[in-house]
Amino acid sequence: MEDYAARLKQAVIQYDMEGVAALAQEGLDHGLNPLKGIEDGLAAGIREVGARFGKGELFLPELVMAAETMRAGVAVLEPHIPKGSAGRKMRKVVLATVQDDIHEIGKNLVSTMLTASGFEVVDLGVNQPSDVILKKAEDTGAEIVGVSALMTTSMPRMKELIKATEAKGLRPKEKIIVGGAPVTDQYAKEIGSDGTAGDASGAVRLVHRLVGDAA
Amino acid sequence: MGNARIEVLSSDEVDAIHRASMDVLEHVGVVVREARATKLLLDAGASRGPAEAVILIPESLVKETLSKVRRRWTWHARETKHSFEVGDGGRTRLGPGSACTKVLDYETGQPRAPTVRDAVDLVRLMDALDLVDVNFTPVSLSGPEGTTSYDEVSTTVRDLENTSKPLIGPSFNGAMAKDALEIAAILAGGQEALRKRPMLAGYCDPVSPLIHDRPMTEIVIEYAAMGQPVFLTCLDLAGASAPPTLAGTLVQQNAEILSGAVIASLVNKDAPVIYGCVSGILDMRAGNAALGGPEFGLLSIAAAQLAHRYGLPCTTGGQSDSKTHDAQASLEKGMTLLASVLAGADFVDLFFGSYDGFGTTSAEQIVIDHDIAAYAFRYRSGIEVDDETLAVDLLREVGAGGNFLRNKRALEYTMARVKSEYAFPDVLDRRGASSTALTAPPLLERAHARVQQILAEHEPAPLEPDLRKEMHAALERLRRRGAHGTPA
Repeated sequence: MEDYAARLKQAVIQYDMEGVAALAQEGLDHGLNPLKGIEDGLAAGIREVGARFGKGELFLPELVMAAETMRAGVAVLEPHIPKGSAGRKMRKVVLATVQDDIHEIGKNLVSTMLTASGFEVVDLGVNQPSDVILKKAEDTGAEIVGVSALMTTSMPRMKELIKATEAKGLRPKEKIIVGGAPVTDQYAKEIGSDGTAGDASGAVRLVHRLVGDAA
Repeated sequence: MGNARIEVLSSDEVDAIHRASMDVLEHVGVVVREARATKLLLDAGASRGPAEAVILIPESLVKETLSKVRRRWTWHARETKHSFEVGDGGRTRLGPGSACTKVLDYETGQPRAPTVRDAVDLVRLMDALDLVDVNFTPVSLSGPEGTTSYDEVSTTVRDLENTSKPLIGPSFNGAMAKDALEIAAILAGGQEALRKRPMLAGYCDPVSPLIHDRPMTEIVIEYAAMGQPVFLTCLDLAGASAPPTLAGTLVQQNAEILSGAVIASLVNKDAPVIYGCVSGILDMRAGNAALGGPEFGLLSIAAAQLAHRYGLPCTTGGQSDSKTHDAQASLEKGMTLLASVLAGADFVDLFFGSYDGFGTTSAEQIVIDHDIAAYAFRYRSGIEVDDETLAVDLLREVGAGGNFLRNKRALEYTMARVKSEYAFPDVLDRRGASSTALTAPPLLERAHARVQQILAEHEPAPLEPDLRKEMHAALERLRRRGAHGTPA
């Protein structure tokens, strides 16, 4: 039997965005354990690509393509993981740009880098009301919610989200991180968030720290 | 004489970018999320595109509106000695670079949240400096609750009390713009007078790619309706919010700015618009915006060429990615400002003090930037060559092996030329090694001392008491109205 886990890892390393879904399906048809396919295959590949990006050996588009390859592969394999089975589940992060703001370059970078770092990212896009973000976080069981704003006028929406989470009694279990060019450390503290970072790689370190597996 | 100039595009290349932008406006279109702007565009001959909110703009509409846009105008200051002409090919006009969320504290060397005290000091400092042409609070004072019209208009009134130079007003949304324009009307002597006198500019940053969002478009509409200058300034990031190539980014940005200019012009054909580019690239290794490198400068030069093809005044970049006021800040600001100045940009309105991609500012960098600006302007004025400056007569008189510092005529001629031939820095050190030694304080310390000296000595021209009273009465009405139009 072919080693599908190794081939899935290679697919990520070679950014095979188009071919990975078929490969994952072929693996399942040949008895691949879906958990092993994710862990030893896709995730192992993305870890290698992420490490090379961190060392400055790769450029951002390569990281994005690897992350997209991983996402496409996970989408095929994950539904086949038996319910309640032991083993590592992918940790989830919900990301969104707050209501009244449509800037998302920074958020998208965080999304890519978190994916490359082994998280499953649910990206809601831009202009998202607090209740929609919170509902998604509950539905998906995300451990972290990250919200972004570029305009000082939309920044109060971040505080609004934190207040809403508190009102539902979900804090401090639900972790909320904030980001965007105008967001400072001081601001993040003042609104009672779980932190901010000056850039996307800092955001990845922050998320790892918050879920307790400091990378 | 002079006017040294650099170009990075041939006229064929400028035309190619223009044609590509027209193709984009006609066939890709722009998203317009403001109902009045949408209606104005459709009534003027634009059409709806296939996707939601997309408007397709024909070249004929762009041409027609651009032909009516004002090419020359005066930006009126509170004190007439600070008013200046725009579009006359004069020197690049400089302003503070702006809405910084951090101030670098000189004592601690660390960034911190800006305070009202910082805002006052920075504006008063820039009021004293000759090469600052546009002056306003360059920091964001927004707290966790965000900002209100009262907060923003207070800032404008405070700016008017601390500087008599032209300024840029609140630019978050239409409601705040309207409130600020009431203050401008007090300054101008009524709404009718204001309509004829550009005094308070509004700032619109289109969202890339190709989006005129509601709040930004409201700003265009409100300021343009009152005949006030509208900056249409793009911060596109090549490779992220724009095509990866600089040429493609110029095409997109050109379409964004020109469609914004069409909206402004349809609101009021007499409203001055400024073609703005502070676009850069996404650094593909760091995953961050890069707004101080050569690509930033190249885009600025090309944007100036494009703006001037349309007869529009432009504003371009002078910035750095450094997080602090260090060598990187000054070298990147120096190179990018020089690019803009030599390109003949009408403005680099977001310049003084800021680095960290417009994120952080400091008073010390403002003083250093003033020297950078003086050097850049000296490059721009070039070398004057005529019978007198060739100085053959003087060479004949001093002779081979002579001494220009011992010849009376040479000394007199040097004195006659000293100010036009040479630029003199304020805080940069050009003394000899013996006088400077190694004990001289480093640049940053000298800059800090200069800041302290200026703040201790300079007193801005006071705002006329009646105007001040009237402005504060208007502010009080805003305060009572509360943040959201309801009584506080």
